[in-house]
Amino acid sequence: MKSSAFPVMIVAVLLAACQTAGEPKPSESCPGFEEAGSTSALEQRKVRYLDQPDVRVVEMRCVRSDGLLRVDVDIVNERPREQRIAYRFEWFEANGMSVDNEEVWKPLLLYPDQLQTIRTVSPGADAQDFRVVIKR
Amino acid sequence: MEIASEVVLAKTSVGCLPVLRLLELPARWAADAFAFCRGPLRMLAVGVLVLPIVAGCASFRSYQTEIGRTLDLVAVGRIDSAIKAHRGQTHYGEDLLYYLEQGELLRLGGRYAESQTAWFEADRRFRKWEEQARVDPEMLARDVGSLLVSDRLRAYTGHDFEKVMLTTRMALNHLSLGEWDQARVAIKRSHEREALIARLRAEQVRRAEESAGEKDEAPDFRELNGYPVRTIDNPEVNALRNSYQNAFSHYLAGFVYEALGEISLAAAGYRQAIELQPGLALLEEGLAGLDMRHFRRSRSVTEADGTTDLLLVIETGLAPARASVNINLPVPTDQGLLLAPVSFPVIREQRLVSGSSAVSTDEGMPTEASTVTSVDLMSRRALQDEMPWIMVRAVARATAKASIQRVAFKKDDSNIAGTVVLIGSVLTERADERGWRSLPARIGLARFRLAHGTHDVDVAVGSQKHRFSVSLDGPFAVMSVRQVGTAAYMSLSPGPGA
Amino acid sequence: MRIRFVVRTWLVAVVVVALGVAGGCAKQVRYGDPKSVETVNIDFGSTDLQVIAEAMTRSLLQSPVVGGGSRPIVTVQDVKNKTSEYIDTRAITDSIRAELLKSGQVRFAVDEVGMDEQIDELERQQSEYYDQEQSAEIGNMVAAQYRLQGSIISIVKEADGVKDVYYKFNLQLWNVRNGLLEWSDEKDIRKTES
Repeated sequence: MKSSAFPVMIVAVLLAACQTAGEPKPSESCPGFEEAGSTSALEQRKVRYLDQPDVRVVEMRCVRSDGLLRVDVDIVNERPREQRIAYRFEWFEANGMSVDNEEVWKPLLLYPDQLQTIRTVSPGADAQDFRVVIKR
Repeated sequence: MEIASEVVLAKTSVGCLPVLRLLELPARWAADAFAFCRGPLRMLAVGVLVLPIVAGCASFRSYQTEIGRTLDLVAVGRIDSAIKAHRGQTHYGEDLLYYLEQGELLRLGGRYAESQTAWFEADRRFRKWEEQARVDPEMLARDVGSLLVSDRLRAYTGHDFEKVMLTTRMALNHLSLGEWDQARVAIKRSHEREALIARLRAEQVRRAEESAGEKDEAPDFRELNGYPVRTIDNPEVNALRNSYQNAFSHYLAGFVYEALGEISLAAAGYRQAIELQPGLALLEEGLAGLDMRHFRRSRSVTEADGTTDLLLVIETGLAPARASVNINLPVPTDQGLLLAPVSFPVIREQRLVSGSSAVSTDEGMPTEASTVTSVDLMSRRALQDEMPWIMVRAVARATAKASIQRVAFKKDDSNIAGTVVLIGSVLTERADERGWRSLPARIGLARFRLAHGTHDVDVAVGSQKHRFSVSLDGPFAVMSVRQVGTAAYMSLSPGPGA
Repeated sequence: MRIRFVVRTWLVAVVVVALGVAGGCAKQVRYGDPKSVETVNIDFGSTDLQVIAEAMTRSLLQSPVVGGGSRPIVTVQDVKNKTSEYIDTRAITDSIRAELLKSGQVRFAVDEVGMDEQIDELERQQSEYYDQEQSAEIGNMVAAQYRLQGSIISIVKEADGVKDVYYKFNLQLWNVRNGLLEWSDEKDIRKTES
């Protein structure tokens, strides 16, 4: 554990040095970033794949305004063919309880190698945290 | 395909079919058993043995003759006798067609609840068909597979336009009973049924095209020598989008949704009606005036404005009858071409009462009721669409019959078995004439805004003039008038919430 | 030879009918996921309804009028169905209203559809059977500051067995007092059947 934490820390310091002062990276505003420690770790926590779709989340951005959480998720089609997927967000209150409404599965067509941003906003001020589920 | 056609055989074989299929066997046995007899005696013996079997088959009777008697009573206004007479005709068993006709007769007689019960039975049968089709869309494609017996021995499943018309007429019954919410349910079922039929027919066409790619071209009835092609292939028939969608059902849907305050659904109903029957001012006004009418009603939410939006449905005549015509088809056998008589259904030209009906009320406003739907044309279109399948079956049947005859003739030099088979084949060779005859030939519409109170409404169809006294009090009402022969029948719905 | 044919026919028929009966019994009913992607056919369906309602709600929540924390009072008017499909647009606006209410950001005034019932109840409470101390008085209903209205259109094309439907749902939030359009958004859906 210790040995792996050390290089991560160095990278984090280097990254922080590169950053202009004060402005956090968009992915760092996502809830749970501090516990995850890195963007890739964050993605691992926040993204679930069902039925092995051939897509990958490459970036996630969050911003808070008027009590709502706006989220952008960039996904890449890893197939050289068209691919149809469906996705939805799951929302959680600050205490970890799920917000009662289930979202509808939203169908999405991805062109070969396309990078597509899916964007959403939390359904209310209660929803503080989220998870994105991508299904084939 | 081979197996599938056997299924249909097995299903239809409850009554006469096994007898027919085995007809040639007794003929052979009889010929053998009476081998010691000579000449006429032997002939007589065979006849005595075989003919009762043939005669015992009720299905050999003509549907048109039987329903014709009932409809004659309807045309002179003796509706109660007609209902009774129809109930007496039990040769067909209490099947789909029986319930369709019985329901219509009861509706004309003003016995809406009983009519609804009869139609519910018919609808249950249609629903069974729907369920089967939904689970197994290939069923329809198989259903057209070769059949060795006459088409009219198959179980009657109803034409597509009859399926849609049934739910529409059930909605009319609900309206006559003042059950607008129930009418809405029936109307919604109509759309769903239409959508399902559309899907199944598209699938059927797709399959036919696929298999046509491998085999010869689909048979074309226009090449049938002696067939009255113009009766089912003319511009009016071809102008219909298909055989089952009709503007009346959709306009009625629009009206009912509007009466229930469901404007988004009403708009769809009126729009569909326009698309199916373009260029009719009445239909266009239904959609164009929808928002204005709705606006006016929502203004007067606290005090009703004292008028009724009256939809007048004028139904005339009877759905056309199918008849049977025999055409000799050349059939290839190993001894060259043989002519075999094959029967096809035809719809003769119908002398219709003049297309338009004049309507006026005691508040003036004489107008022409626009014919929005013609069941006559729809049933011709249905036959046009069916013809290729009918021909496929006919050719298969003719080939089979020719070869049976040939075998029978060859084995028995005295030709007795052959003669019997020939008699059997001529008797069974008659096209399927069945259809829901008591449906109106044409449906026209007119729409009025009348002050509450009692009004006289005059309806003139051709030379027939009728006056009805109606009393109106709700915001909406549907009045339907049915004219058959010299008789007219009227039904008025109490409006929603009235 | 003919006897054999007949016997064979009957055997096949019996076997097939037996299979058919067995097949008939095998039909089963299952519950499904009400939120799953439904593509049974190209007609307007449950997924379209839910996707539109969700997109509109989320977009409205971000608008300055709704998101400002002032909890504006809104009334729902008609969404015009300009397609020739039987789409119950009230089902869509009902979903939007339910989701907006859950967010706690909006209040709703009685709309035209519920007006009759509202008036009936108010008038009923004025009758002698009620304790007038507790009865709602006439004249206290709160008027809406904003009204929601919209439309749905479709473009349908069909050729060579391919059917393409494009739906566009448009929703607008109007300020009743000054007639300003405060917010508007669209959601479009394309479906192809081949």
